[in-house]
Amino acid sequence: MQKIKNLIKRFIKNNSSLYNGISKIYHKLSALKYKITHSKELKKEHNGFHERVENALIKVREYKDSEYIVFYNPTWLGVAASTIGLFNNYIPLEHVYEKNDIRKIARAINECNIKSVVFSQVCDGWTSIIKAIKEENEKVKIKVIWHGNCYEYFSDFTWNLNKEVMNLCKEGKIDSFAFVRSTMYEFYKKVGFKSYYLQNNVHKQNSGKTAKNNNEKTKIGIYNADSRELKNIYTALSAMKLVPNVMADVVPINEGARKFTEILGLETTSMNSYIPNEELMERIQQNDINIYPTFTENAPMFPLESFEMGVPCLLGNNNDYFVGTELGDYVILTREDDAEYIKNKIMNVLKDRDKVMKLYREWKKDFDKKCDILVKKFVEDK
Amino acid sequence: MEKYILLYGDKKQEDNICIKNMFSNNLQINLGWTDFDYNANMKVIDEKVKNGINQIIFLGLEIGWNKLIKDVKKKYSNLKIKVICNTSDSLLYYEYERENFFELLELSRGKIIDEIGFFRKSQYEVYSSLGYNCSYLMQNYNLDEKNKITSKRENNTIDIGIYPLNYVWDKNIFNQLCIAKFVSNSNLNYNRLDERMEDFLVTMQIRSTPCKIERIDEQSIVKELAKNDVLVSTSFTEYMHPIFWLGMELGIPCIIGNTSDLFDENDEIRNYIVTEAEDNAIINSELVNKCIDNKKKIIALYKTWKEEYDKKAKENIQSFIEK
Repeated sequence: MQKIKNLIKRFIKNNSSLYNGISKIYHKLSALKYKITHSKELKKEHNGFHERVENALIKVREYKDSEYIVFYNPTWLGVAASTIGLFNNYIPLEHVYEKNDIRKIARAINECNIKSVVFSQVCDGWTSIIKAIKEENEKVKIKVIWHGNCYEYFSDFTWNLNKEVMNLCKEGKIDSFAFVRSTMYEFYKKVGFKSYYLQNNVHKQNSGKTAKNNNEKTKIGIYNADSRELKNIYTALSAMKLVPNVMADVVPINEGARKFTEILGLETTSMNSYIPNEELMERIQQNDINIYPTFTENAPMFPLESFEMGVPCLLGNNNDYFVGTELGDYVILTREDDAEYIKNKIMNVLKDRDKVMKLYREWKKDFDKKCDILVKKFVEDK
Repeated sequence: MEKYILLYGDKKQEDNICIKNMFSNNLQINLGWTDFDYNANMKVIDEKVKNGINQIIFLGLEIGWNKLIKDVKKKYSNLKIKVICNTSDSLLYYEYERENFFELLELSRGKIIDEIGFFRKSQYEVYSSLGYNCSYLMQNYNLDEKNKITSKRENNTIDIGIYPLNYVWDKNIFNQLCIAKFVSNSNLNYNRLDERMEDFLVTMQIRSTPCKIERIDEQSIVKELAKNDVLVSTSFTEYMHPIFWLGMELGIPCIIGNTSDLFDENDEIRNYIVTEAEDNAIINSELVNKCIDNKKKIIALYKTWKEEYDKKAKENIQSFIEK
């Protein structure tokens, strides 16, 4: 099949309408084939989702008479961490496929007298839940947190979902949106939607207490950066190479990135497997600095987690953290695709590591207060 | 006296616009998919060598060119072979880019390639520190007088042009389209590469006029660019900036990302047209307004800068050829 695809690509321009047509038919047929050949597995999977709905219903009843509840998908790690970091009344819920499950959730919300329901991003079946809640009781407020930014509309799934959600809002089924980046908030407000601004937050036991670094070599970490092009892992590795006496810790590291470290002659303690967040938080404390020079984001969790664990982290200027502060001057990267520039920023932070962490702790106090105010406004506004 | 020929493929057509302009002795060859391609390419090289060429510069190491280069070096051991790197570090995410780049380094280590040229200083710094024979090249472009057209309609809108030439992630297309929402009384002219772009603009109620650039060449692109007051080309990563060059040469300010080394020593022009935040539509809409208000000044600054830059870039390319 790959050979046929390559042959077609060779003779048809990939931006032509013929190519687009063939591509769409191919994807539709692939999806159909998958459904037919995997019907048993899909049924089993759906049964698993049904069990999770039952668990969610128990939690809904625990929050009887609450002002709000928040649904989030626990398998979407970034969104899950963001939701738990911001709200109290959160309920894990994955995709919902059964009509009966959808109806049960809507009925339980109405019976438990919950005033507003927040959906932290939208999974399969959640738009049907939104409609069902409004059918049960149109006075229940529905609010959606959209964690993506416009870059993501390159993906068919995200764009189609966004359109569906926007249509629900136009029909009055969704009362408001929240965004975790100011540009998205301003954009959707301008388009005409009732929008709120939130900021992701992280609370860890270390609370920013500076992690000791007694490494013989400068140890620099890059994490969860090998899965998407926008994570910019190769530039990050090149930047590390320019730092004298360096040791890289890259987790996970795929074959391509590993080969690149060999070509660069970079010493590493890397491994090619995802590790649970708790283990990762332990691991990063061994580093002198972590770097996260991604091209586009909303409100990334990892830089905050790194600071909370006591290790400074460089990040791109594609979110609202640290903007206009002395801390920002140290850690915000404006030239994400320039290895030499990133190297200079690394050296500057290493020189003033204790000061950078102190600046973070001061910033965090105000940030915590700001996050609480934003959440309160979003949840309580009618 | 060095007699060179620059050979390029058709994989990255938009970048060829600048390259062909920088190296006057150039010729397109086939990507090396098949034996037919290999033989055709070898025939071209045989002819060129017969006519006295003593240096071949390849634009990138495209598929199948590694074997071609090895065989050419065996056949003509005195022939200098140089390769200009046509990828950035971040694009190594893609297997095609990565495998060919790794192969390029391998050929350089084996002394089959005499020199690698990089358009980004940081890449040059990394690979020269690793001991590779490499040079830093200055990208450049001069628009022929006959192609300098003006066709801006006399209307009351601010025409913003966004012309990505490839529908790929690094072009940062949707964040760029958002910019027009924040510019009052604007109309967005854009290259409609995918129906998603139009769907997005209609859904978000952004006033816009699509076009379709069918041929990636100077004339076709310039014809569309000339309809605008200001251009935006803020991709995430680049090594060559064809829309920027074509626009500025036409006299239309073009905002680019901080993905080049072009204005590192000229803050005044940099502050007008280089954005520090490629994915931030609000910051970039402010830059658009600043460009509209200072259009004449920006173009005058560009012309002064370009005069000096042309001299340096010419010397830079000459020394790469003579190395």
